[in-house]
Amino acid sequence: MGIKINDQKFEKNLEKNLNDDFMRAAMVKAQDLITKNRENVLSQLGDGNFREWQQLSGDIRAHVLENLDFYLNQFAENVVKNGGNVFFAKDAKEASEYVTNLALERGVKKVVKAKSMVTEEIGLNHALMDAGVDVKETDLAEYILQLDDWNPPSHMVVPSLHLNKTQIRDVFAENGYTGEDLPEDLAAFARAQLRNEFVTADMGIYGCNFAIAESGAITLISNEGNIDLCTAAPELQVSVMGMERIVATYEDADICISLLGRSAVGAKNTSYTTFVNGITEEGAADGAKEFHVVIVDNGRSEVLKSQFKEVLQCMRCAACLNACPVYRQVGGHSYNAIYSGPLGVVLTPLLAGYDDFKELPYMCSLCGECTEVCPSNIPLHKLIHEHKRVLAEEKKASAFWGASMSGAGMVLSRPWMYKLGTSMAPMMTKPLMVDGKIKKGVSVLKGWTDKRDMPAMEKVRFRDWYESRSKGEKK
Amino acid sequence: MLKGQILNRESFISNLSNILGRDMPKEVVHPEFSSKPQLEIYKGYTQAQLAEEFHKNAQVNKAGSGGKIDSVIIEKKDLAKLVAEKLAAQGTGPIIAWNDKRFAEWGLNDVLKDAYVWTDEKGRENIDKALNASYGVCISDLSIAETASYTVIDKLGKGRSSNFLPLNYVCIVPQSTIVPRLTQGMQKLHEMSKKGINPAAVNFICGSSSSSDIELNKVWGVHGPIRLSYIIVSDL
Amino acid sequence: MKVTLFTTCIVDFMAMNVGKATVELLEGLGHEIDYPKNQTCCGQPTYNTGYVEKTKNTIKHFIETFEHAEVIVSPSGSCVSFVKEYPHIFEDDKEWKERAEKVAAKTYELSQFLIDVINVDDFSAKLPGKAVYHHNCHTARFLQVKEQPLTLLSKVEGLELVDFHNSRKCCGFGGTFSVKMGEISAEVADEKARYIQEANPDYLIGADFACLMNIGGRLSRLGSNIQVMHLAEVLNSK
Repeated sequence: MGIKINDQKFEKNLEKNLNDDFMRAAMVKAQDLITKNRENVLSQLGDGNFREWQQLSGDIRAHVLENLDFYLNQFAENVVKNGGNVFFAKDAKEASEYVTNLALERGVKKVVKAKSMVTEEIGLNHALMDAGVDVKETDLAEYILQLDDWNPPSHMVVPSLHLNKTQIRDVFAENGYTGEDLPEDLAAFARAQLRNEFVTADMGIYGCNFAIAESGAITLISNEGNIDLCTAAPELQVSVMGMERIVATYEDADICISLLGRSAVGAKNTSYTTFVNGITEEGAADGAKEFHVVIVDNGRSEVLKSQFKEVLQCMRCAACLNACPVYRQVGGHSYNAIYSGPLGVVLTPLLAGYDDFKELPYMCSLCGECTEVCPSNIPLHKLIHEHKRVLAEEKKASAFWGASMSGAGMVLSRPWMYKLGTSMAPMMTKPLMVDGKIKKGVSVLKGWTDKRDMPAMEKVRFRDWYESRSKGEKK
Repeated sequence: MLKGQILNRESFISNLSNILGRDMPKEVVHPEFSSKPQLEIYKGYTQAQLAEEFHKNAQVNKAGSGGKIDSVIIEKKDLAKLVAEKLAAQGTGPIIAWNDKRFAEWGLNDVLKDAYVWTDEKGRENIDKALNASYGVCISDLSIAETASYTVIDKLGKGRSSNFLPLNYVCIVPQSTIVPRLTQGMQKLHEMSKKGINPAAVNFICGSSSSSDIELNKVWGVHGPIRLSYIIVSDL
Repeated sequence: MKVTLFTTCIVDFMAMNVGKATVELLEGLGHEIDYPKNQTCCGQPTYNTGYVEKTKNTIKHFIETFEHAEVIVSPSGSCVSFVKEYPHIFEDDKEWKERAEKVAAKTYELSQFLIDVINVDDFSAKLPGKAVYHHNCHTARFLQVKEQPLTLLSKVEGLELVDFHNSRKCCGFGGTFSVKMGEISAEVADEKARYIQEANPDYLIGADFACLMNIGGRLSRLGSNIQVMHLAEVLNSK
C-alpha cells in the first residue's frame, strides 16, 4: 500500500469523511475515552509530573538521534552476537524485496504478521502476496481490515476505529461467521481462526517499538499477545524497524515504555512487554531458529538532515491523534496516508513529498494540544507551522494566499493603511449583512459563514471611541 | 539457517555520519539526565510492602478486567492447596507446566502430577500441548509491583508458546522477586547484558490478552490467556 | 502605573466594547492608560499562515510602537503569546532580537497582569446568572495562564461558574485556519457550541475575543440566546 492510501483528491476525501456519521462519532468517543484514561494514569505516574517525564523521554530520544550512526552500528553488532542478521534498507523497495526474497528462498507459504506502521509504509503485505505468500495479519483490528479487502487503517493504535461492529460482523460473515454483532463473539471468532495460524506459519513478521542498542533487543508492546505469539512459534522471524526506533540502553527504554502505554491507550501498562534478543537457545522447542532485523531509512535520513528532525523522536503512540481537534472531526482517512493526525501532518510530507499532501499542514488550528501531550517532547505544532512556512516561502504553494498575505503584511506594518482599511470595513462588508450580522460571506469568508455568523465591523472602532473620549476629556 | 550477516551497513552508517557532520564516534558517553523520577517510585519499600503494592495493583487490574485477573498473598505452606484450587477454578482440563525443580521443592508434585511438562527434546509436541492446555503454570522470574506484572526470562524447559496459548494462567510470585517497577527490571537486564547474557526472550506480562479494536469495547482473551491468577508467596 | 494598552486589531474594529471595558477597568484601579495610536496587529494572521518574512515588518512596527512602554497589557492571550515568540523569530538578527526580548518581557495578558503583576482580584463586579468559561488555547498552553481568569470570575457577585464538557479543547478558530479550512473549523465550533448549550448557561465568557467570535458565531447561527462576554466586560459589570 505504501504511505498514500488512496488517489482521491483531498477535498473529495474530506467531504466523504465529514459525512460519515459513525466514523465521526467513533473518533469523538475514542478521543474522550482515551484522553480521560490517559490523564488519569499519568497523574498517578510517580508524583504526577508528566512534564518531567516528557522532558526526560525527549532527551533520551534526542541523544540517540545525535549519535544515530553509533547506536545503529552497536545495535547491529549485538543482533549478530545474538545469532541474528541485519539488513540496512535505504528505501521501501529494498526493504520489502529483502523480506519477500527471504520468504521465497526459505520456501515460506504462510506468514503471521503483527501490526507495524513501518511494514505498512514499505507496502510489505502486498509485496508478499504478489509473490504468492499467504499473509495473516493477527492484530484483531488488522485482521478485520485484511478481511475487509485491505481497508486502510485510520488510527495508529486502533486501526479499525472507523468501522462499526455491524460492518465487522458482515465482514466476518463472508468468512464463515454466523453469530451476532457482539464484540466478545466477534473476537472469539478471530481467536479461533488465528490460533492455528500462529503455530503453523513458517514465518513471523513484526515491527519494533524500541530497539535497544546495548543488547540488540527488539522491544514489542501489545495488549493482545499476538506479537508474542509471532515471536514464539515460527522458526523464521523478521523484525522491521524505522532506523530512528532505537534507544541506547534498557534503562532508557524504561522511560519510553513507561510513557508509551499510558500515552497510547491510557493504560498503566499494556498486557505484554517483550524483549526479543535474536535466535532461541540451542535445543529449544520453539522460538526463532533464524532471525533478521530490517532497518529502514526510506526518507528518514533526509528528515534527520532537516529542521524537522525532532519528529524522529516519535514513538507512534498516537497521543497527538487523540488530542487533535481536527483529527477528531475528520478521522484518519482524511489525511490520505497511513500516518494521520498531527504526526501525519508533520511526517507524511517529509516521507512522501508535498505534491500529494500540500493541504495537510493547514489541517491544524495551532492549538498546541499535540505538543502538550507528546511523550517524546516533540514540538509538533511548531513543526506543522514550519511546513506552512516552507510551503508559503519556498514552494510558493498558493498564489492567492501569497498575494493576500503580502497585502496583509503591507497593511499591518503601515498604520495609515491599517486605519484606512479598518474604517472602510463596515462599508465593504455591508452587502453581506443580514440582521446586523455577516451571514453570507463570499470568497474566503464563505468557509466561515456557511455555519457561523460573524459580528459586524465596528462603525465606531475602539480607536475612534478612545480618541473622541480623550478629546472630550481635554475639553 | 543464516546467522551473523549484516548487509549494507557501511553505506548506511556513513551516510548518517555525513549528515551528522563527523566520523562515527568510537565511544559515546551516555548522558546523565538531570532528573530520575523513576527511582522515586516505591523507594525504600520493604519486600512485604512491595508485595502489598503488587497485590493492590493486581486488584486494580482485576477491577479493570471484569474479574479476569485475581491475586492472593499466602504462605508457602498453603501453596499446594491454592494452586490446586486455581487449576480447577474454570473446570478441570489439560495443564502445561515448566520443567522446574522448584515445583517439587515447594510440594507441588502431587498437584501437577497430570500436567504436561515442557520438554524441549520433544519438539513440536510441546506446542500442540500448549495449544490445547486449559491451564499453564509458571513461576515469576521478576515481579513488578507498580503494574502487577510477572516476568518470564526465557531458557530451556520453559517454552515460549507455553506462555501465550493456554486458556488460563496460574503464576506463582515469590515475594523476593518483587521490585518496585520496570526500572529495576531494566537494570537487571542491563547488568545481564553487560555480562554478555541476552536471553532470547524476556516477557513482562500484566494481564489477560485483551483488545479494544471493536468500537473500543474491551474484550478478553483475543489470542493469549483469558484469565490470570497470581499467587504471591510471602515466605519465598 | 502607566499601562500601555494593546487592544489587538480584532478588538479595534470588531469588538470595541472589549477595549472600552479594559480601559475602564484599568482606569478604575487608578492606572493611567497609554494607547499608542499607531498600533495595528501582532502579526499572527500572516505568520501562522506560514508567511514569516512577510510578517517581520508588522512585528518591527509593533516593537517600535510599544518599546517605550513600562508595561504592555492586552485583552488577548493569543496575541500576547505571539509577542512572546518575537525573540525566536529574530533569532538571526541580534539587534531586533534584543529589542523583541525587551518588549516580550513586559507584555501581559489582562488576567495575568491583574493577578500576577498588580495582585488585584476583586472588582466589586456583579453579574447575576450562570456562566461557562472557555479556555483559549494559547492563553492556557503557551502562556500557562489557566487559573487567573477563574479566580477573577469567582469574585463576581451573583455569577455561578459551571464547567462544560471538554472546556479546555480548541474551539476551532485558529486564525486563517477558520477560513482556509472553514468546513473543519465550523465542525469544531459546532461541537464546542453543543457542549456549551448542554451546560445551559446564561453567559459564555472568554478572555480572547477571537474564540468568542467563533463560538458566538455558531451559537448565533443556532439561534441560541446565550450571551457572549469577554472577561473584561464581566469584570466591568456593576
